[in-house]
Amino acid sequence: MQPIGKTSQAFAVQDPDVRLMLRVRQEDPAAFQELVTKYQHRLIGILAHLCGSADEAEDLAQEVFLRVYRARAEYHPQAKFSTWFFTIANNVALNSLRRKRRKPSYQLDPLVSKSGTQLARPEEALVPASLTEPDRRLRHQELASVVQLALSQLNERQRLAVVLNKFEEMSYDEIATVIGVSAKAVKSLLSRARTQLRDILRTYVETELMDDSQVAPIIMEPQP
Amino acid sequence: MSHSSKQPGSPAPRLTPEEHENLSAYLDHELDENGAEAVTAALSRRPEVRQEAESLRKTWEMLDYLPRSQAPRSFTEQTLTRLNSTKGILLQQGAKWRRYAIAGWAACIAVAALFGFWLTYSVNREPEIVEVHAPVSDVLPTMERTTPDVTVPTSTSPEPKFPKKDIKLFQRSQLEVSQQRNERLTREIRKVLVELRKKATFEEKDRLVELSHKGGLPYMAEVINLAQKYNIPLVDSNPDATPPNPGKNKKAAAKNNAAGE
Repeated sequence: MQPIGKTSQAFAVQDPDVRLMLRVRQEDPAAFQELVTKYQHRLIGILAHLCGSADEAEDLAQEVFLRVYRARAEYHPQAKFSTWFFTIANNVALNSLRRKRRKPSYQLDPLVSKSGTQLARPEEALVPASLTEPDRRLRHQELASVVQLALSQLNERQRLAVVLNKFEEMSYDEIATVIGVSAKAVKSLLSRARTQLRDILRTYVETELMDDSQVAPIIMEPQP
Repeated sequence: MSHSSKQPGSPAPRLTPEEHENLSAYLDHELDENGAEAVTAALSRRPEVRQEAESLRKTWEMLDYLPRSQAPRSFTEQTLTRLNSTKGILLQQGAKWRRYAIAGWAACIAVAALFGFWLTYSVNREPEIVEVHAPVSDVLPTMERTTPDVTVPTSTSPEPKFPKKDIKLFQRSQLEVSQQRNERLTREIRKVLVELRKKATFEEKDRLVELSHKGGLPYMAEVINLAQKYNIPLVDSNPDATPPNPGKNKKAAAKNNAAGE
């Protein structure tokens, strides 16, 4: 059993996932199982957005967990566990994308995985209530496809930054650590990604804005 | 955030890239207090900034339509199974390497045994006396001393002067005599060695072989010792004498006797 430094202790106190990973480092099999159970959905969700395929996301997620297990002995908490974890996921995803570029393949239906899992849908509340149920579903499906297409138009870094910021609620500093760039670069990356997405989805965004009966106030309280 | 003046009738001024970045960071709550205040002020004063912020916010909200992949129920189990099988593969690889290591050690031991056998055989085999092919003068440098040294008289020498032609002839004849003597000695020693091959003991042969590598006087001394020990006739004391012929000698003695009488 390796000693834990002061920095590691500080992170272990703050982040329960760090404590979990430290248990994995101490060869606790139950801890690893708990880690997989806790992170599986988040990881597969992120990877599916990055590689655009649910099947591939499952395979890559397994690869990520195996790498985490293999790296357990060298784990020294220097940041939140999720930052370290998604850095590994990013490396695995990038390797996979490089392989795919060399050997391109086609997916028939990216929304259904080979294990039969139907991908979960966004919140129903986002679809206007005035539409009938079949119309709502149709509209929903269309928007999902369009947004997915728009996301796929971004480059890999922009896509990862968007997904981590949107779904993992990571700060710019954390995203910078995962991607391996500066926080300033992440700021620029996300700004360009937003503009690009807005340009692709312009028609739908304007329609959505028109559908909004009441525009939500934009001005927010500055963060401490 | 800098303010852009708007001319009546002209299209809405676009935000600079820096304003865009700050607006995006503002929406993500990533600006510091001063930066956030600047954006808030721009939003309240400039409609194009408000419009841009609104469209960006709505675009961000539309990401909620993205399908969210869920792990299948068996995912954890599958992952743990894959992990265990990977461990198994690693263990198998370890076993495989152990087998290779054992085979390698066995091969090393076999090679060492063969080398030892070869070494033992080569040490215990009967040594073979080798002839020294170098001229005897090299083997026995002292014999050369029998050849008289010829000194070329210098002009300061008090000795009488000889013509150079005569001196060269004399030197050449001396050299020929010396070579002939050496060749004869070599032949004689070969004969002695042939006899020694038959008569000498194992240790004596071994020693002779060892000395033959060094050459020189000790080798010749050993040859002579062994030749004396086994009564092998050596070279005549007078190297220039012709081989003895008993019959001819008897006739010469009889002739001398008759003449005396």
